[in-house]
Amino acid sequence: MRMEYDEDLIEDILYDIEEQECDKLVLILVGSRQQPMMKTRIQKMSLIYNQAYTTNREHEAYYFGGYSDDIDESYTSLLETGVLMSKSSGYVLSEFGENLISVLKNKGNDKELVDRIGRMEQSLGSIEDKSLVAITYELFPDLAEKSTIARSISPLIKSLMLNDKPLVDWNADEFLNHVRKGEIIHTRRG
Amino acid sequence: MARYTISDVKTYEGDNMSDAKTVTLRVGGRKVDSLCKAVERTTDLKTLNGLGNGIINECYIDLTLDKLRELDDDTDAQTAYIKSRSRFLDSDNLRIMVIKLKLEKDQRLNDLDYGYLMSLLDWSNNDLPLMPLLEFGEGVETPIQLQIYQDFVNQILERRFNYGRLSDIAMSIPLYYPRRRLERLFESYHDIKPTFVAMDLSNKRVDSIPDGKYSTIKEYLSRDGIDNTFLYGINVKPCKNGGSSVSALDVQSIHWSFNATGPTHHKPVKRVIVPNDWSNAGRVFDKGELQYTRFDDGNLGPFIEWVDGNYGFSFDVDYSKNERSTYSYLKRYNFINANRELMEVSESLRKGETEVVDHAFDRLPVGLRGK
Repeated sequence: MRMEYDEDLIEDILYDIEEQECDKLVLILVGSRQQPMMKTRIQKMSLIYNQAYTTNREHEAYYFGGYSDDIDESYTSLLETGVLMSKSSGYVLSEFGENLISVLKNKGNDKELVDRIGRMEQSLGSIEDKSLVAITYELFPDLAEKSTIARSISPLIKSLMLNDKPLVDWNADEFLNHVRKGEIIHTRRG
Repeated sequence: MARYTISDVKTYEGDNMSDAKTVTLRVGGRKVDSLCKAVERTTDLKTLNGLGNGIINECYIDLTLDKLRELDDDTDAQTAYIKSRSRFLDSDNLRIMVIKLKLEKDQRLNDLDYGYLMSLLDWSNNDLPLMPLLEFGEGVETPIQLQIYQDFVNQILERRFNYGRLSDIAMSIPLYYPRRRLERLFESYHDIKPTFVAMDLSNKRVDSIPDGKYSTIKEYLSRDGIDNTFLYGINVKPCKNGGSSVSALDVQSIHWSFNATGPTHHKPVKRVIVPNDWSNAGRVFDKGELQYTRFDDGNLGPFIEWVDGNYGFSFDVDYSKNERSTYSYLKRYNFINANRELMEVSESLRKGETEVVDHAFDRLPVGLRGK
């Protein structure tokens, strides 16, 4: 049975989330995926989103590559408030989270954000988490400088093919253009 | 009659958008008359004595409903549990018990539970009784959390009359409370009109909370022209993770109206194996820039000297040769220096000077200055 929520309360909660760009981004990212989304994937997808669409460079070089403390705080607090739930080491929307998303999607203000993330998921949805990490290490190398796992990622970077072209031959702009257009990128090991 | 009083209000009157304000909070013979960071888990007596008295000793009591029931109203068991989680209870610092009760999905408090909780709150060393906070296990969605917390607050407020010391219980605000619902929460306290308000940041930084929430709280606190208020931050993350130099937002919290902040109580979920060198040994408080920065040639020497001067041993500049962990010493070093900075700001505010606050404000990242 689907729970009924007080519409005013949903509006009040969304009012706070809308003031928090990262909360909104995480909510829509998790909502756009059909399967549980790991923290690593949320970090890397938000990094790619910011590179593709914003001047926001909040991701910093950290121990596992590009990392945003704001994004980290967002998925933690969305979990604490029951908007997200953990499942299979990742996050999914709770029923309440799904309610929030459906209201958000109907709001004009955030339609563009929802559409962009939809296209991004369409483009990158089939790429497994580890390959997504490798892509961010190769295309945004400044953010991989402090990484403690760079050595273990290196073989994957060398062998990964994106749409039959080696990852090392891609550049960031070319990749981000695919993401913006929602063009599917498939990967395989070369 | 109010058990705590707040007086000697001095507000920043410079040109910046800082809400810095210093006050004197008194309970009996204890007082806090400076902006401060509350006692942390790593704080030791030497560090505390180095600051003198006058800061908040937060006694953070986290417990599950099962634990609460196990303690019931056995004062010996309660005291033992509190003491296992608190320190320096005999010092002259002001002791505030922050109770965080965790409810799992489908758990609810009954009459007996409320009795146990009131008995815990009424503990004789709790100088300033504060409305406990509720934390929820996974799967309890926001609407349910809000409903349970509001009922909980109403229950505690109704029962407080049976406990004289709790008659003017101070207000707490959980992170999950939406800004537009705060009015209802404040209304619940209408006959107390609390001037001490604690906001749980749940391990977030002060700049991560929607600005509107602060302005709403400020609006309520200053209603009827009252300015003798004290805003305390519970579970405050001191700075951003990531990046080499990051704003000391625990100290900079003064611009968001905080009079004091407490330490974070979240434990790291994942240990990261990093190169064994000073640059990965944690961040050190930089008083000039009001940042937390990685160790370098400039700040390592003063830290090593401070440890030597206070604890009689030296850390080696070759990090790999150190047998002791630097963690607790660095935390103490930062704690004492951050508190000294806050004391300096307070002194400056009391004199009606603006320079020290201006200096602090100018060190905020540009994006945060219009807060």
